[in-house]
Amino acid sequence: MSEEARGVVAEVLAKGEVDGVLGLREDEGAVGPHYFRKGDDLDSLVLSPKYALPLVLRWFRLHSPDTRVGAVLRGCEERALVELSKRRQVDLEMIEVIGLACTAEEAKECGCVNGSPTNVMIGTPTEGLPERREFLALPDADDGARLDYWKAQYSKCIKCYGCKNVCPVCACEVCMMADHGWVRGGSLPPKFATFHLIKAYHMADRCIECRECEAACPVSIPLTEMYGRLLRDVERRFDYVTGADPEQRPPLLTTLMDEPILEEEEEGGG
Amino acid sequence: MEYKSVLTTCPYCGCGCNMFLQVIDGHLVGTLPSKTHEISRGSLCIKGWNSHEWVESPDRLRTPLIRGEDGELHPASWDEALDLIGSRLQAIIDDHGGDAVGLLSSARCTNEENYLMQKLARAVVGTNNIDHCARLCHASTVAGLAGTLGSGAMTNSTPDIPLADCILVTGSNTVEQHPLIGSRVILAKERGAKLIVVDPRETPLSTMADIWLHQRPGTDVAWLNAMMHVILREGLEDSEFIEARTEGFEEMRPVLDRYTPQVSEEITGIPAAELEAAARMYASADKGCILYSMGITQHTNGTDNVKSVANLALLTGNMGRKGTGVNPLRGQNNVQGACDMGALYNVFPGYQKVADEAARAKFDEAWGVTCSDVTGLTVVEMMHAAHDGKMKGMLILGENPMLSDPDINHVREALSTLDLLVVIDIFLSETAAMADIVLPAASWAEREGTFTATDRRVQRIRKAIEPVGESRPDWRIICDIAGRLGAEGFDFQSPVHIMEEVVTVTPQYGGIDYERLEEGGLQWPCPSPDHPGTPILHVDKFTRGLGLFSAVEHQEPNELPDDEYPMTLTTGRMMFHYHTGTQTRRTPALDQEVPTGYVELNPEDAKRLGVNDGQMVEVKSRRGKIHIPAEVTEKVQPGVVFIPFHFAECAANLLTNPALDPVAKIPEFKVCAVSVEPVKGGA
Ligand code: SF4
Ligand code: SF4
Ligand code: SF4
Repeated sequence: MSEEARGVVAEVLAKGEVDGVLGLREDEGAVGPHYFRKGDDLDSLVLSPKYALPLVLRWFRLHSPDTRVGAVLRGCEERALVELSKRRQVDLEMIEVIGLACTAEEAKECGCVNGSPTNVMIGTPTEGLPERREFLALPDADDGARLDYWKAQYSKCIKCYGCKNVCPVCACEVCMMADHGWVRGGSLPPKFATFHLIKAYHMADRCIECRECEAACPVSIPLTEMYGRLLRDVERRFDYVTGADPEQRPPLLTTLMDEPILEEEEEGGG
Repeated sequence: MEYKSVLTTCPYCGCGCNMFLQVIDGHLVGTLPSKTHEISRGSLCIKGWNSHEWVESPDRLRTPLIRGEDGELHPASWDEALDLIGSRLQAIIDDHGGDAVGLLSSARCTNEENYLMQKLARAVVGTNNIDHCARLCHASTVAGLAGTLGSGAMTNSTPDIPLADCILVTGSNTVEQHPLIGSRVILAKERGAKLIVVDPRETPLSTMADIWLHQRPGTDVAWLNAMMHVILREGLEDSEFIEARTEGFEEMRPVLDRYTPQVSEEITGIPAAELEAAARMYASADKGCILYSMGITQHTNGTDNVKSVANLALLTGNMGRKGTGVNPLRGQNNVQGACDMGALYNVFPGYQKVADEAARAKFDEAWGVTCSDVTGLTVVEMMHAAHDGKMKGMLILGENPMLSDPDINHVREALSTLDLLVVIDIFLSETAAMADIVLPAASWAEREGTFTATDRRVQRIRKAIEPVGESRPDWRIICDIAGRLGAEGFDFQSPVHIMEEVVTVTPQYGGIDYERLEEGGLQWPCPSPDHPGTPILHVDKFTRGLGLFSAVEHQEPNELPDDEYPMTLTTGRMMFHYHTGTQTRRTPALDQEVPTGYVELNPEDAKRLGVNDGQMVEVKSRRGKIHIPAEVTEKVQPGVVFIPFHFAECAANLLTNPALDPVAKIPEFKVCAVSVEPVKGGA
């Protein structure tokens, strides 16, 4: 598929409508993000492992807002851009998405239910994805066993903030996870209820389940088991699917000072 | 728009994670962990994630500085500063000889730069007065393991730690000090490996351990001997291994006989039954892995502690296989490499002894000079020599003894008596602020070179942005100073060429070159270009032939609590800051996490002293006193207090004891006697 990708990227570059194309490169014994320019040798272009490219696009927008770029993105990454654009962290007009369809094995490995990007230019969209995400069977919630499970998981945390740093949609200027009013600074592992639940709560209407946070977690905490369940709740209550429609307003994108969520729902006709 | 993603190695701890620095239009905007790297595997700790934040700090030194007649430091040109260094250093050498000069190299700098520093000392200045802060952390490892195994380095590799059935962690707060090794211990434990922690202080690992033993600080030989006593008593030793691969066992045995668990309990405070359980747990594992760090080394008997740890592994045959070994975790990004490169008072590159005539002859020939056979001075000894007026000039590369060394008041006096103090650094550290001449160095993100991680893994660092201001890479600065002293053999055009010279004189690095390193790291020994590197040492044979058991006796710390100073102070580091904090304290994410120092005090002691959490207290030792907020916590045992040493405004090292281990000359940072009192009016 890399060969196909090289051809597609070369074409996009040749058209000259973008300054360059963000993708992945294998070089110096490692794979990492790379910005390909017109005329570059594309032999080093590869497609995996997946990196949090929407995060890089956020940096592009922050430091060079007037540059129009192309990017080789998978379905989840495109959905991340949708969530980011709602929060004015990227400008969709300035990004040409070169859609990459994950292979069936890749989709299975991620437990993906959302599928390919809108405009697949590399690979073939995978058919027959499961309807619903299969969650791990967690211990019962009633007798406190589930709480114990999460306590044990979170007690491994080394407070690297990797789950926040790598997350394409974790884009607040001031992060509450580092706010001493909520979480005591310097204590390890961080106190259970706040540090992790702040992130979980903030993910409930924006996480696109790319699972980069789990990949970055040095102690393998199954973070999206929590986020994913919250997402389903939000989907059920607010009929809101993350990353789908750039025009749909995120239900939690409001403050206590602002209009309450109910009003928002009524205005939206819900 | 110019965007680059530059693969490099983390500048902080010895884990050696690889990351991509994110550069837009010549400025650092972020960091991403490498997903394909064996150590980082897509993760970093908080320091690595934020390592780009301080690089372009407005506080960076941007021009050379020379102290003027008014006593202040003023900007100067490179030529002015280098000429002045050349002439004044030459004058000292001419008048007092090379041994009146001391050089401190740096575990933060590259292998190439450390090689050049020791070459500058030995081939140009003409002295063996070259050392660096490894003296303060693992000198006792280098001495202890070189004697018993033949090589003073981690025997195994970071990736094989999770393969152990039982991990014994002692004197290492692994999660905070070596986070990506700590995370592997956590994952191993989760998968069912047994975990034993022996540490006087609560750490993230001690709370999840199967067995946590907390000894009285400074009593490690006693519990180690007692563990071996139990193993022998119950026949859990590996007799085949002892027979085939070791020597000295019979000499050691009578000493162990005396250290019953009860004797140990009296000395260490560890209940005999718990110690027995730990001994059984470690000895009955098929693959037992020991991780240790400064809780073992930073004692006046640090070398004995290290030998004792080695004894335990030898006794149980936990050597030379995956998931086993004696694994000293080296603190700094390149402290392993700085030692390998011979930035030590007694050895040339590759641990070839200065005292050995053949080794001297080899370097005489390589460098075209006659190397001095006079034994050099170590870090702490240099400070004494300066204090006594015997040391006239010092050249300090990227070190900050004004915060990192024991008994800072003494260091200050010593440095201020020097005729010439030159400091090369990226920030105006507490030490640089005392210098006559300060030279601005390029940061790790602004230069090329190699670091050697704690598991002997030689890896590349790569230039991501241009040096800020007029700063220059350290290797270039050292070459320029050598040039001003009229030396030849320093006309290197890049670190590649320096490494080409390194490999010709350093057998362990013989097969390393930049082209090979482009494909990933290489673990030494790597003696020839076709050698794949060595993930595990001592597989069929110890570096010294047979593993040597050493009979070691418990010895009390140099300074014990008494009526005037009734408590024991132990010092260390924490997750969120690094050493003297020059970089981490300029990193917003880290400064926000922990803005200043604190002293950990057990609730029992706090109650007795009438101290509340957060209240200011005065901590005093025979050498100095500091005011510092108290953190009342059960992490420390009654009678013991802990202070992280990163913070100049409440510097732990104003208090610490410079008493030295007689062999390795490492100071006793981990134990000194202090008193604690509430500060009047301090809420
Ligand atoms: S899966 Fe993790 S990294 Fe991805 S969007 Fe959700 S929270 Fe962020
Ligand atoms: S990535 Fe994992 S270890 Fe790091 S802060 Fe998040 S949960 Fe904690
Ligand atoms: S674990 Fe060590 S090497 Fe890895 S990111 Fe943290 S400080 Fe850097």
